[in-house]
Amino acid sequence: MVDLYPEYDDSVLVLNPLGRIDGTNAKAFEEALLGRIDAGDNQILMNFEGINYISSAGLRVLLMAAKRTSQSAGQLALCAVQDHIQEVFKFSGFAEIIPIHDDRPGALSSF
Amino acid sequence: MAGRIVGMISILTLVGVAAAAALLLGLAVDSEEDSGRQAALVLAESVARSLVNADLPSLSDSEVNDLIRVNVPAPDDSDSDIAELQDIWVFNPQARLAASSEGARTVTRDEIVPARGAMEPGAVTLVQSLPDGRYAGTAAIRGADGTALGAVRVEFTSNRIGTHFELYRGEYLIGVIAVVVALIFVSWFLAKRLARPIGIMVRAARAVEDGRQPEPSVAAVLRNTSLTRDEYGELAGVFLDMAREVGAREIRLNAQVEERTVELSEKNRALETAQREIRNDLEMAHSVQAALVPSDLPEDPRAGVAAFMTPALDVGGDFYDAFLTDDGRLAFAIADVSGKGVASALMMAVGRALLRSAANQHPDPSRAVASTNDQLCGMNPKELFITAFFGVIDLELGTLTYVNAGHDPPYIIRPDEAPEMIPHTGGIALGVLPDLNYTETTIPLDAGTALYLYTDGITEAENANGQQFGRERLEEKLAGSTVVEPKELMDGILTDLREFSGDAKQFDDITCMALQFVGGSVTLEPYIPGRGDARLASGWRRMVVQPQLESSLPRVTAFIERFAETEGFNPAEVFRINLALDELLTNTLEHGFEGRVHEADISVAIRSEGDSVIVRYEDNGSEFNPLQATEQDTELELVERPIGGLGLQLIAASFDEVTYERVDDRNVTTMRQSRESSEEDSG
Repeated sequence: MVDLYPEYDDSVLVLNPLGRIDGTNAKAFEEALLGRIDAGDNQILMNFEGINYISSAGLRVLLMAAKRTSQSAGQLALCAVQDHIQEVFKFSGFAEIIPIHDDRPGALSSF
Repeated sequence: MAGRIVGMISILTLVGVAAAAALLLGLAVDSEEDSGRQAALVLAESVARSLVNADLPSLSDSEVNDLIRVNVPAPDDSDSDIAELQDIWVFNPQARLAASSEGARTVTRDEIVPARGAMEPGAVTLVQSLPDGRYAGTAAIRGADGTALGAVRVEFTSNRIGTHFELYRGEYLIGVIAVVVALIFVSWFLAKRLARPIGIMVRAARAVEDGRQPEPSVAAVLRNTSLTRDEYGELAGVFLDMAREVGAREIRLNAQVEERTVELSEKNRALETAQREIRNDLEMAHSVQAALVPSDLPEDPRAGVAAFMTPALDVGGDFYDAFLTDDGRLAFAIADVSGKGVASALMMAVGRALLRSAANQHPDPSRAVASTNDQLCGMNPKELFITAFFGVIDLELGTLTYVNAGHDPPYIIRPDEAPEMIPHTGGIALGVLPDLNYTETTIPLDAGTALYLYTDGITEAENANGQQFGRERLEEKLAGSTVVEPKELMDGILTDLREFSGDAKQFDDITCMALQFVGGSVTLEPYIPGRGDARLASGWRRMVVQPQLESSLPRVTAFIERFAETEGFNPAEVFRINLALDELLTNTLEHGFEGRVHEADISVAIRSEGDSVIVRYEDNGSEFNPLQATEQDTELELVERPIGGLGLQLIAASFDEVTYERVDDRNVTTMRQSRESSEEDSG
């Protein structure tokens, strides 16, 4: 089970995952994140400060989460994404569809 | 002893013989005792006496006839022998007929001769048997001086016709029957007397034979019999003595058997207790031995380790060890303590602990082994010794430095090469002599190289026919193995070994260890003909990837990081290469093998070429061109965007140039990235 280190800032659920999100743990990451959404959270900020690797398997989970939140008029956003990770979002086009903020306060103000 | 029985039998015999003799005698004297003859004698003499005083010459026939009337018995006298007195003749001294009851008649020779005979001086009365049951008696008539005055002849018919025997047949028969009955009765009585004690003794003997006491009634009879003074008494007495002796002996024997049985069961109990203790000791030693080999083997992305040990039932002294030294190298050992039992197991525990601590104190394996040897020699009262192979892999440099102290040389299996024995360093077993110098040897390890270490429990394992598994078979199996992943390699050999051994008893510990150096070091991948691009011949670093994402991904990452470190790549470059390989590997494992993942042959190779880095990914999965699968429109709205297919797109985006070719049924994806541009990108 992936620990998302969840916390609430007002109505926004802030998640602080650590390390890698790749094919080996994507499933656990998916269960943890979508579990949160199924439980009713639809304003979610992913603090990527501690994430140093993400593969397409991780991107898929983020895409699923973004779709789910938008379906219930919510939002999924990222913040503090490391440069090389940011590149992945750029290459994949995800940067266009998932809001990426430089830091946490800026991100929170967008909700 | 009185011969009572003999006496009785003798008497009985005499009685029988006497009875028979009497019977025979009776028959023999039959004619002599003819009562008719006796009657003739008596009658003739009686008539003669009555005529002594008579005047014989003047005797008239009528007077003679009167004599008949006088001498004829009463008609009702049935006891008399004379039925009818027929004639009386009187003769003169010249044997002429003087008078007769029949009157004048002719006298025959048969009548004259007896008369003359009877009148001879001193003659007796003559008797004749005549036909028709008649008798005749002729007696002399003698005067006082004995001179014959004449003779008289009487003829009569006997009342009892026949011989005495014929006449008294009934009486004889009754007598004989009585004697026979008496004999039978006496015999029966005797037989009973003779047989009864024998029957009793037979019953008593049976009882004794069966180990019982004779029944009281039988015993009483025997005792009574023994009191009598005959042969049976003697026999019964002897028998009773014997029975008593047998009984006593039986009792003594039973007591002895009982005693021995008790002794035996006590000894058995003691033996069982001792065995249980030994078994408990062995089981404890067994579990101690099993517990003394590390259950956690070091985990490092740069190397895989698998090890296995089954202690033999009577506890040997094999051990293996693998651990990361304090300075981050991978140290490993396999060893076999001489002998079996608790002492060997303890020696093994000590040996392993010493070697481990020495490995951390001394970076050089030769010094670590020498130090271990010295310490073992100082605490080895049982003169045990340890054959050991000790090696240290420098995971950074990709080298193996090892010392072989009298152990079977392990095998090295370089990628796509036949297994070879690791050359011996010529060291002798540990614990034999102190102050020895051990030689160490260093050999380079290519990425993907596997090592296989074992103890003689494997090569000397026997099958039911007593054949050993042997080194040749081991080499054959190693050469035939298509895998080099340590656990699979090791399990494959163990499976072969079990198939070979079958149900045969395991005599020795079975211990083996497999290692694979995954990569992360500066080694050259040799050119492999028929495997794609000939340019692989030089400058490449390559690793074989196991088809298991969880274990392989960290290793591939470590491999790339190690390469990047030596080449001075920045983290962004490392990230992109890793991401691309991750995506390719994930894709291959998800789609490329459809149920035949065990056949997977996947490798990653990387090299610097001028200012570029080239990454080459090969797999033997189903044909798949990643370039044709990257046509996902990244511009689609979020809700319309399909999930999946992203990874390959990331690859294309990460590299300047991505090419795909299908070579020898393998997918070969080559990615090239200019260093300068990546540095620019990463900013």
